[in-house]
Amino acid sequence: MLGGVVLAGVLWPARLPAAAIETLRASVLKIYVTVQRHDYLQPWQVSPPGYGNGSGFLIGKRRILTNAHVVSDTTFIEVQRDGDARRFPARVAYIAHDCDLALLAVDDPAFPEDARAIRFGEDLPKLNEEVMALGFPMGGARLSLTRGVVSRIDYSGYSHSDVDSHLVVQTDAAINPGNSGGPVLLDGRVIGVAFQGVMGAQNIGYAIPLPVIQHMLRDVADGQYHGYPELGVHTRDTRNPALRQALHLPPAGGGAAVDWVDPFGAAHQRLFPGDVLLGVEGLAIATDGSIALDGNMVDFAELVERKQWGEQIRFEVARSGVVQRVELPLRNPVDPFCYRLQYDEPPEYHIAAGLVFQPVTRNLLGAIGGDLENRAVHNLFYLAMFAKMDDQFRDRPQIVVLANRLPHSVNTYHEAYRYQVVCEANGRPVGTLRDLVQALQQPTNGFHVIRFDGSPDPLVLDAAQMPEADRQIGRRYEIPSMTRLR
Amino acid sequence: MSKTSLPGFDLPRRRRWRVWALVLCGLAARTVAGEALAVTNAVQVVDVLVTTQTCDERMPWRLSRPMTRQGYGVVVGPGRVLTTEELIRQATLVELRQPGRAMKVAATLRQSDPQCNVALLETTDAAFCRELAPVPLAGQVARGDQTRIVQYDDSGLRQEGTGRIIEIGVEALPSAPAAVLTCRVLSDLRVLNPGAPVFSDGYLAGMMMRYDAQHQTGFVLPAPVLSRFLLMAAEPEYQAPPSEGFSWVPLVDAVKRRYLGVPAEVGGVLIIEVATNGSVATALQPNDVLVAWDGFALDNQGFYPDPQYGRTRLVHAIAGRHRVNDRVTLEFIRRGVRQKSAVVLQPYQEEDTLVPENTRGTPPAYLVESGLVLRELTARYLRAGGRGLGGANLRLAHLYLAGGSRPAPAGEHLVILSGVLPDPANVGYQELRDELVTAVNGEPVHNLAEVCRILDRDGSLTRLRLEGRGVELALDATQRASVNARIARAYRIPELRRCAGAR
Repeated sequence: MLGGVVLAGVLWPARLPAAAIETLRASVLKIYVTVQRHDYLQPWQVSPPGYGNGSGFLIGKRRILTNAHVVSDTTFIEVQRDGDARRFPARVAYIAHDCDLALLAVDDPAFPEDARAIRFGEDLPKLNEEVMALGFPMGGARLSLTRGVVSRIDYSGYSHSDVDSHLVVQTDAAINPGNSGGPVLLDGRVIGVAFQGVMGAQNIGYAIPLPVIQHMLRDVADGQYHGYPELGVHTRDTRNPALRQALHLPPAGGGAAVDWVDPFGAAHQRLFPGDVLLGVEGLAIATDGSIALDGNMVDFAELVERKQWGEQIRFEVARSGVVQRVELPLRNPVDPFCYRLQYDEPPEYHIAAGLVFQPVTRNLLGAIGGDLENRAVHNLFYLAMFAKMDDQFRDRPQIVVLANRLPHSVNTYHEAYRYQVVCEANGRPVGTLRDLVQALQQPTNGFHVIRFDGSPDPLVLDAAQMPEADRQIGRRYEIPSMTRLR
Repeated sequence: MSKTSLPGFDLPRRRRWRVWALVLCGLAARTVAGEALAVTNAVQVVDVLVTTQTCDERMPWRLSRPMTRQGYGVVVGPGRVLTTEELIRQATLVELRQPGRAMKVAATLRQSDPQCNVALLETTDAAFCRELAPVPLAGQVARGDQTRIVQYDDSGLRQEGTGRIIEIGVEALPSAPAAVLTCRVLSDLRVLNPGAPVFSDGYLAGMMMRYDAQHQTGFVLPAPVLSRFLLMAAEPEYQAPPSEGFSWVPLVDAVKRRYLGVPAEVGGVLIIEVATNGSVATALQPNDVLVAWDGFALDNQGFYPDPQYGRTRLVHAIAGRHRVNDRVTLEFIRRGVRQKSAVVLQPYQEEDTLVPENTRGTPPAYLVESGLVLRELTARYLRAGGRGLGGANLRLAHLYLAGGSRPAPAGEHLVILSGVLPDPANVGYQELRDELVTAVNGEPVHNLAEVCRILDRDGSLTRLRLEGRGVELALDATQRASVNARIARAYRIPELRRCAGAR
């Protein structure tokens, strides 16, 4: 059990003597990775191998905590102690892309037993407390130690997934590429994992703080990572007197009004637009949605964050002027419209007549680029942001797009359809890539007719030409398989 | 080059003489058919000096700092000067100056048309006009014509360069969402300002809009476009060119032609959209294949054999050869059956679209209520950030791109909450911007005039519903007057509403 692993370790003295630093050196590891990213415009292939390195630290016997972004899309991982020439292969035991953490395991029994786990701190650090960052940043090969203070504790975006936000600890201790995954320590105890910085800014580095680390470690205690549950509500500040009156709220007091409920969130059908959230788990919610927690005013979402998948959360809600208690389980269905960057999983695709169809993912949008003057491209970015809010998701678990064209005489005139969203094929609605694959097995009167959102101009293929064209295209472009579905 | 034939469309004889009279006024003695005109010392080209102020799209009661720009104008009649519309767009002052002279005279805008990028200026200054000599317009231009391009340097010295027309075609204008007949002139004279005249044998063959120094190519409005504009400007009421009112795609793909039942040899393009109140609303439907327009057979890429310009895009056959209310015949194939129909051509009015372009930059109507800035969505607003649509709100830009440029039911536009001017009355709303307003005081709204009517009827706006948001914004009716007065003072807003004005 990892809980036991986490608790194991050595209590370091408050002030670190040189000997303690030497001991820490043995517990902080350099992580060497070989990376192959998926090519979202040619999804049957991957990029050439790339090489990089990050940092990590022991939290148990041959168990290393690091960042998810250090070990994502890797084909080979090795770890090495400072001052030790040996490298040991490692594998990803658990990876949490939504909070940028990963737990590595080293299976080689030859891994040195004298390396001890570094103990975690008890709580969030305080502003101005002195911290140090250990790791293997650019500029040298050996372990680096930098010092600074805790300059901010905030709720901020995690760039690895590009959509998630959690608590962060900001420090002015130098954190540079290569530091990722290394420990940030206060009095010899881990209070964070270095993970990102702000390019162009001076001395703004971020660490993943203990509540997030502990959330991840508790989550995997049952042998599976579930991830953060999503409540899925947007709220509106109710401090406007006219709004309070319209919502039947007393002039003074708190409460945040529910402005939108995510159809894939845990609050779906439990909370409703117009509800006013007065309290959560016994804590009063202010007009701006904040609560007093551990002496800080934080967004009430932080309390949701601290819950595990499947746990209950309790709200006090004013609904149509009547105060009631609403309890809801924090679990939600897989959200196909949460455009979190994807890693480690090869993208889905289907190629017909050299036309490459894919579901829209954040990765694909990144590969297509942001030419927002292009109407079809703009539509994809719009859907990625507003599909749920503007009710564009119904009966469409995926948004299937014609992402690429592999030139061949069978598709010479079909470039104009690039980046358009498929809505129908051979008279059948297309809500998933699988729907499209199935629909293309049954041509109509010798033709495959594919229709796109918002366009009356169908793409027409001669069904009789397709088998031979597919064979030629497969050979010409060296495509091992014309379809990959999950 | 023929000098007497009229622009590339058939006009009744009476109309021909009207435009001729306008164009040749003051120079009739020298306009002999087929005879090259001598270069005179009279002033044919003037500097056009323009002061502009653009409207702040987010705070539409504000104007930007005055800016100046300069171009050329060509004298086409007594006191009348032709230049590009783009040059005088959003002008607060237009002045004319003879090259090399210090004296400037004010000019008024007589007519302009962004759809063809031409403007006609007028000055009544007698002393200035006395030295002007109108230039006759060439009737036609042709590929291969040799031309002279004229401009003036800072000291007023005339610079001339030669050029050859290398291409005539229908191209999109750089200054408006429209396509017109244009030509490209290969010239070694580096033209610095718009409006520079392109002469051919002393006749005005065109007016340069832009010069590409890298490729030594000028982008020119040819004489037929200028003549047509002048003809329309001479009418009691200016009439913009007709609009096709449909969109189409080429129909080259043999497989698709078979699917649609259209033989390969008949040519034709596929109609994909028909505007409900456009020229062909009663005749064409999506998925029809348009095979002939006005007696001209269309090829499968939408070109027709123009009698003057050869293979030319369909849009010229519609907008370049006809006037509004002209009747034309068209032939199409619907479900494999060839049919014929006649239609009456209608104008294009960008104000009729759901999201108008506001190409001219007309100051928009707006309403400021308790610090909430309401206005209608336009394409100009979306692009005001300076990064094209890339800098615009995704949802609003989507509404424009996904059909906002199509004609909408009469008077239907999109009302937006552009932003909020912070005040104690609107605490809690101040981060809102670029929100679509769907209802006020419980009533759906389709344009800003409706919002103003509801405000006038109810005495205040108490509730606003925004697209995608479950909580209506509430405003305090009892404080309205004092709040509005405070906001007008604090933000120096001369008028809190401009509802009745043009968009």
